[in-house]
Amino acid sequence: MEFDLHPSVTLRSGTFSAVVAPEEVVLAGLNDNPVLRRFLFLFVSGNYSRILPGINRRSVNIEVRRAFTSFQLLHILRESYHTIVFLEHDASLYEGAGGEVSSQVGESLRQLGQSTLVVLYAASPDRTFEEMARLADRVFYVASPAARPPAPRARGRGRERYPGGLPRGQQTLGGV
Amino acid sequence: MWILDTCSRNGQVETWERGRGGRHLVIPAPPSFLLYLPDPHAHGDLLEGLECRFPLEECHIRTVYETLDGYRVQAGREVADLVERQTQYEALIFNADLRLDQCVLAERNLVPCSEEGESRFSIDLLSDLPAMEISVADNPFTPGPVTSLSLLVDGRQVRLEGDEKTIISDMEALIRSADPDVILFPQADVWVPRLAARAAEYGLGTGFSRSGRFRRLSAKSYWSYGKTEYRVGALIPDGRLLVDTRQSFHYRESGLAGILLGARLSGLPPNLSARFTSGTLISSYEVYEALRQGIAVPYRKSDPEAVRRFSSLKAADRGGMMFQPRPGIYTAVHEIDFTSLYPSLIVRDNLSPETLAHPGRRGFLPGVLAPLIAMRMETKQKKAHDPRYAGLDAILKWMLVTCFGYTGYRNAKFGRIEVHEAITGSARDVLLHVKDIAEEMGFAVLHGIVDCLWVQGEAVTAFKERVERETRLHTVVDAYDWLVFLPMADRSGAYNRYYGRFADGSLKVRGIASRRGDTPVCIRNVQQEMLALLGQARTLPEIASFREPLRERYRQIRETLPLVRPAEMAISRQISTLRYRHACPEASAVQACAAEGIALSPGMEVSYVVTDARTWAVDLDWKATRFDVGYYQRLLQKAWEEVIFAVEQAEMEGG
Repeated sequence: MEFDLHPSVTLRSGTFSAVVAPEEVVLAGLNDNPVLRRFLFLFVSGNYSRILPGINRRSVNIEVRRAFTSFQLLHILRESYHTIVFLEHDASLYEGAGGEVSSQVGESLRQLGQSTLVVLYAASPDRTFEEMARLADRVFYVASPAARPPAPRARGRGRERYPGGLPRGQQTLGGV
Repeated sequence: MWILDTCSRNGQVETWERGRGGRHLVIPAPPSFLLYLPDPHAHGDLLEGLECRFPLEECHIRTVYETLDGYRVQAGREVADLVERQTQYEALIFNADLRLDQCVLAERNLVPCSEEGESRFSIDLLSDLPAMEISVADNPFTPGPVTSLSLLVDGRQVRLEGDEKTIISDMEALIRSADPDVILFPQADVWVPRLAARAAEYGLGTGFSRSGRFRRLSAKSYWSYGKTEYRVGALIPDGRLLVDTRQSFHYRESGLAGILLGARLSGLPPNLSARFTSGTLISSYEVYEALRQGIAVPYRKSDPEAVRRFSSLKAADRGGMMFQPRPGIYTAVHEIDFTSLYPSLIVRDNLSPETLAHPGRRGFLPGVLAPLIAMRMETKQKKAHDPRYAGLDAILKWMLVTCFGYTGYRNAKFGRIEVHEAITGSARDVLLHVKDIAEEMGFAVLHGIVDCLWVQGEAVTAFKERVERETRLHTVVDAYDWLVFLPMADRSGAYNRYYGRFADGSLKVRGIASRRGDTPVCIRNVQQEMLALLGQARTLPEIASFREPLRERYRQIRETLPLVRPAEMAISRQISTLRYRHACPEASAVQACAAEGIALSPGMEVSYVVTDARTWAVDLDWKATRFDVGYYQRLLQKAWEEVIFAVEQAEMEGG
């Protein structure tokens, strides 16, 4: 089983992927995705979810579990029976829990990813996310559309693009 | 054995009785924890290793959910942490992070601040302990020696002045000779560490501690109900109750009686019940109750929320119900208020983590909250005639208020988010049901906030009786001669800004300038004065008749505002951070404190006077010599608009 979270991000069963992407990219990939209606999909969030409010409940067939501590998260991962597990990273789960807990969560994700499609997602990575992502089979970074350099805007009408002639060595179809 | 203080040190618990010559007991109390392994055979090596190093025995572990077969390990928390890691967090650990003194008291059926055999849930408790009051005249936030200190001993005021060494020496002698059980001291948690450090430099003691030793309570910033709060660190003396009367929320709200009741209920020493938040008190009470009942207290919060369908999550995850009022002035209004609604719903509906799956079983939470609710009913009734019960009522109120939020707190030992949601769900049903009853009985519903409803109508006794019968919840009804709901900026009704006159002539004021903690004293006083004038009016025509006296007062204060002392313009606010991104008065106040060498932490309160609102320039309150008159005139105008709105509405209603 595989599904495209984004045209350049294809996720497969039996892998643990870490994804860093803007929320709108993830929401576009989750909402109205026909694959997600056919399989058991578990969405796991922490204390605060930036994704859940944006999910269109009619378009996906998902189950949700919220972990309010990292220990609850470990319990959820151990109990999971779903085909797809999507974990929205929440750094506050690891506050005061000791550094080794995040490594254990990463390890649990890796083990679960041997039989399941596991995604660890964050809008922006932090230290605990990166610790866990080190154990992932693949890590995807999707840039925000807004972060791309703006396309050059034409000033006025009919401006000649290469007033000094074409760059050297470049051919046009007319010249072929 | 009336225990005034407890602590644990080096594997021992120490207790102090009240009174001169009260017994000081030292009880051996080696730390231990309970361990459950889902698959003990997979961890044979671990068990063997533990058994070699520490006393270990098989035991039954009774949790709120079930009884497990596990082990009691006589070792500290650091061993519990190692076990967790080695089992990849599969092991369930209990009772690893509890206060040893609380455990010993629970095991031996001892209760702080209580005579032997006395019920913890009795509302008649001794609070006339021998007390001494101490105050220091110097500024606690500036370095330098103490130059003036006052003591109130046996009704006699003693002022100590001169060089610091003599002051400390005399203070020590006076405390030792009076040997009070209680010391009431404004800013004690700032002054005592300084006095103790200076005393040590001079080779003296302070007399605060009955053993000469102190325990250190560290300072911390924490997040509570959407605000950054700060708890100042403290040096806690052995064997004596030291209350920082300025900083202790419970002392301000509940007095000494409330602090002692908090200790009695939570199993904590009163030195801690004076300093801990209401949330910590209720959670300590639950832990103490669990220990007394032989229920194990989980070390980690690992029982997660059940799998939810996305649609059911959206439906359940809502807060309290509110009805928006129409701005205006209303007469013949009644407010029906549910006493401790959320905890009462926990008890009524048997809501507890373990009853989610087994609703027929009597839950732990309802069981421990029921006696508190019964006490609150009693104190609420008695305080109306006897002010001695007001403090007890206040501490119970705050503990019960926070018990609901605690069910949803991520680290709550006995909380679960589904319980939290079930409580708010029940409360929404109750408020909607009461609204239906009111409308059916011909009342107009004016406003509703979570646990109270404002209605306009006459047959209020029958209404109250029916509400109590149908909801099985206790209510209190208050009658208003008139009530004002203020508008928001968009002219729709504000949910939490209103004021009115009760039938007995007293006023209830919520959310307006005179109630806000950050309103300058000058503006607060003016608004209170205006409200007191309005409070003389029983009817709308009488309110309308106050237009001119009110306007005259407003004109007068507006004219004389530039002459007011700058200190009266101080605005006190808690700072949420030390690094503000935008220009604001709090950012300027943080800079001003830094310039004065005052160390701040998020959650601390700073007091400043705005000297230029365009740049948000401020002076610290104690240094301010001027203020931005235009800025304070605008604040004054807002306070005035909140008052004159009542007059305008009264005139419109035909007054």
